[in-house]
Amino acid sequence: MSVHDVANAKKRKQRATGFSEQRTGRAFLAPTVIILLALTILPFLLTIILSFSRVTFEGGGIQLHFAGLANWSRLFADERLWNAFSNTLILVVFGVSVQFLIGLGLALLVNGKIKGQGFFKVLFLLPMLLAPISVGYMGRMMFDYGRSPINDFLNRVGLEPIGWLISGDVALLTILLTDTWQWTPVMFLILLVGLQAIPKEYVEAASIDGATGWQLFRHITLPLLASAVLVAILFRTVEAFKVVDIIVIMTGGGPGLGTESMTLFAYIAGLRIFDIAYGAAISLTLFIPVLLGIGVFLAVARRYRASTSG
Amino acid sequence: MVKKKRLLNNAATYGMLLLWALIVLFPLYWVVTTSFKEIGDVFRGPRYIPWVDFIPTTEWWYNIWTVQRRMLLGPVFNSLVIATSSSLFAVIFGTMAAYGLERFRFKFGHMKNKDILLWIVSQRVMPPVITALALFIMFHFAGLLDTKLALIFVYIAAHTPIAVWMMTNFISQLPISIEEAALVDGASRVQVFFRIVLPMVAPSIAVTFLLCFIFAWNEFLLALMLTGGRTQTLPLLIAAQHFQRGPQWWDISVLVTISIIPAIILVVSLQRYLIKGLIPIGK
Amino acid sequence: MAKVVLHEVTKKFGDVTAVDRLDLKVEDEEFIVLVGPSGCGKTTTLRMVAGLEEVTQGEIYIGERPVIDIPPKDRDIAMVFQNYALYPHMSVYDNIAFGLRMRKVPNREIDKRVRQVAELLGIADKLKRKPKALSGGECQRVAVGRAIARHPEVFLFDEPLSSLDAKLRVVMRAELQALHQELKTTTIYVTHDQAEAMTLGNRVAVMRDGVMQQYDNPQTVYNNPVTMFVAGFMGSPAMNFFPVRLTGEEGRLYVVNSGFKLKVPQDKTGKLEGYLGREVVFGLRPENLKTPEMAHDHNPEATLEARVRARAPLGDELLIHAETGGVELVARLTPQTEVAIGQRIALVAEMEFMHIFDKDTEEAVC
Repeated sequence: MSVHDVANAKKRKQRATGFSEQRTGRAFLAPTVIILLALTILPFLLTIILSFSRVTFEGGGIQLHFAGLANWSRLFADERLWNAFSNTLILVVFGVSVQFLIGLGLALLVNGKIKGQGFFKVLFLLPMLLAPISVGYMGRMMFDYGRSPINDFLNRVGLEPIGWLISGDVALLTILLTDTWQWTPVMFLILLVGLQAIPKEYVEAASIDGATGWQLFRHITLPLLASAVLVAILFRTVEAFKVVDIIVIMTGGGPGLGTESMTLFAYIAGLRIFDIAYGAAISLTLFIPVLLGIGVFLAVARRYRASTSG
Repeated sequence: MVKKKRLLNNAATYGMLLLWALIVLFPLYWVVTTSFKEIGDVFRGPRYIPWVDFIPTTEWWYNIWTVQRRMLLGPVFNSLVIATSSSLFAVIFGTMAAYGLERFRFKFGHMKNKDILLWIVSQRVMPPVITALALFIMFHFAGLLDTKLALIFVYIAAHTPIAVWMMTNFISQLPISIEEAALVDGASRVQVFFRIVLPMVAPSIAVTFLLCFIFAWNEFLLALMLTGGRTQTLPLLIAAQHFQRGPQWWDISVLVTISIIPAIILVVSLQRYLIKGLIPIGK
Repeated sequence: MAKVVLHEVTKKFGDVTAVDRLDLKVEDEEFIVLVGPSGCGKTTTLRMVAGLEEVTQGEIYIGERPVIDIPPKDRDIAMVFQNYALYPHMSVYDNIAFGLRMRKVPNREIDKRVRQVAELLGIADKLKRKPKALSGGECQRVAVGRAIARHPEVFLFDEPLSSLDAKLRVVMRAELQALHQELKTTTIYVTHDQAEAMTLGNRVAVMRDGVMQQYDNPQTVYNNPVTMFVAGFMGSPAMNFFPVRLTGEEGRLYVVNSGFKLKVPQDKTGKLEGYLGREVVFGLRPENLKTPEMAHDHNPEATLEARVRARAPLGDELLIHAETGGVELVARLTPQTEVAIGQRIALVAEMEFMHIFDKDTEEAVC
């Protein structure tokens, strides 16, 4: 292809006509931009303001007073923040890793020549579409101390039953397992789509060249799957930081504060204790690790890409 | 030798697949069967198989349909209205924006099409709790707290980025020349959008709508923070079971079963589209 | 119906100039073909006429009307696209009727025209089908039908036959020709296929890298290409080019390289005098290289020797690839010619059809 070709193709993809249809174009974009500005960006800015304020309620109204760094200095001295933060981080790091590994395994298995592919696909996708609240209840019914099937199973194979939801040592693990049950499908889905996008010829060519099993996976499949892996981990990491629904149902953040996540902490401080300004400050701290995590991950991914393509 | 190895491989593959299938299915099985158990069968340790170790009862389903119908219908109605209307707007806005981004060239400051798309999609990165407290105050002043409208607005904002993302993927696969043919044939941009583009992406719009619907139907945190008694949604009703009366697993199981029905319908009827069109890799 | 004029039209994509100060005049009722390799700017030119691509500089007139600020829908043109671009969700009938409906033509008139066009193109029995249920050739006819039902001022064709198989392409070519005979609508037709250009166009415009090389009737373009590019592009197999030196002996001119020395006919010498003693490019089409038997000529001053490297018997003709003086050549011989690979053969050059090009500017000298 000549330079002209490339340039032409590129431009043509970009837009159908050269007419300065600026106004029409903007009209198509306007509703989305307006609603996002009004209901995402504006509240975000307001949250920042709130975190520097003191909120009072008089005569049924809400008043804001400038409070400087009061909320922030109180927050960083609050052990509950560090507790919620470490709980959340544990759920994110271990949850995303475990879900990635299981999701990748399942995607590889399903992508092979197997019978009942459609059935497995549907079944493996299902949990991500269920209400997290309902999943939380299912988790409780599975892990309940006295009458749950899981403890019954342990009992039958001669093990001690475990206080999945009431023991401070394992409650976070229980949340992690339930979270994994629900969200492994996201990993599975993205990685499966990625696998299906890999042209069969590559694998066939490599196997004619004599590559087998692990070699095929390591040198052909995995590099071609890199962008899907990136999307999957990035997407799940972002979502995992938001974890709250199943915790509310399964443990309510307990025992003690053993499973309290950042979102739950912000909610309780903001709307249960009704210290909205403090809740705003807490919620904002959640944004920092999210951005940080994405930044680090993208940097690593870029370096990896540079090293493989170079 | 080779044959034996392959057989072993196959057995391992199906073994693992079936194991995960069991892990996925069992909680679902458990919740559905529990909705048919007597109180005694729930509390006297796990009972697994109907007619073998417990006698099923339809009492709880009957109850929901009679005594507790009022309690259920309000939230189901609210959830239906909120999820349907918010998803409708999210898909309309999302399709429009996706079309705009695919077919026009924008430049706002240093932001071009790709940056705008990234900006829109990245709104999903923001944890909802960050905006929820501020939204609480905004809706308080607007007098919208505890109204369906508030949740509809919020869900439109939450799901439009998803719709933009998916529809961009779908629309980018349309051959441009069909629209150009319509332009030359005498159609205006708006006519091209409604008479050519929309019919062509109709199935994709349906998929996107259903996905947004499911997300809205399932949403808990924002509903919890922005509504009260008047506009309880189904997830709130289910969550409240435990706060209000202690775990009455039979009733909860009925409600949970009801709440997962839309997801099951969606995934079974649309699995082909879901896998094909949901996530554009490497864009 | 109207004439189309492009005046110094330039199109830039960023830093890349796709079309460079193009002047093109299409007379009323004329059928012209824009031809060139992919990326030469021919499609961009067509799209600018359609209004699907913005003009960076210059002016386009349809009829007497400057159109660069007029959107496509108001230019009164119809276009047939490479991939047909039929509306997949509409029946054949609705596809053809769409443009008329957009223009608020009364329903009865629409019905009349759709049926007329369908009759004309032989798709009357397909009107209720969706494009998916049609063959490639039928899709092509619908696309053409959609254009002609509108009775536009100008037809634009963007490589409309390139997705058809070879046989169907020949059939459709003839049909398009007949159609133009009947409708007489001004037509601009883009193709990369030089044979298509030769058969269809009243005039052919050859483009390269955004620049118009030559614009003339097909025979002139073929016989008197103004540049090496046009000479090489039009005709298949392409014209043979040999680097030679022009030498003079006793008032006669010769083209000389290490493999041959050929006499330039008397009537051509006039234009070549300035190049005496210089390196030039000598061009000769494959059909102008013949065996002595074919040419009934054994004139040693018109004969070169070559070693056969490959032979391609095509049934009605025999192409041989041979080498002389380190240069590859192709000759088109009668199929009865007996040659073997590796054999040395004598070829008579029909020097009255020779071309000489300036080595640096690549422009034709004669």
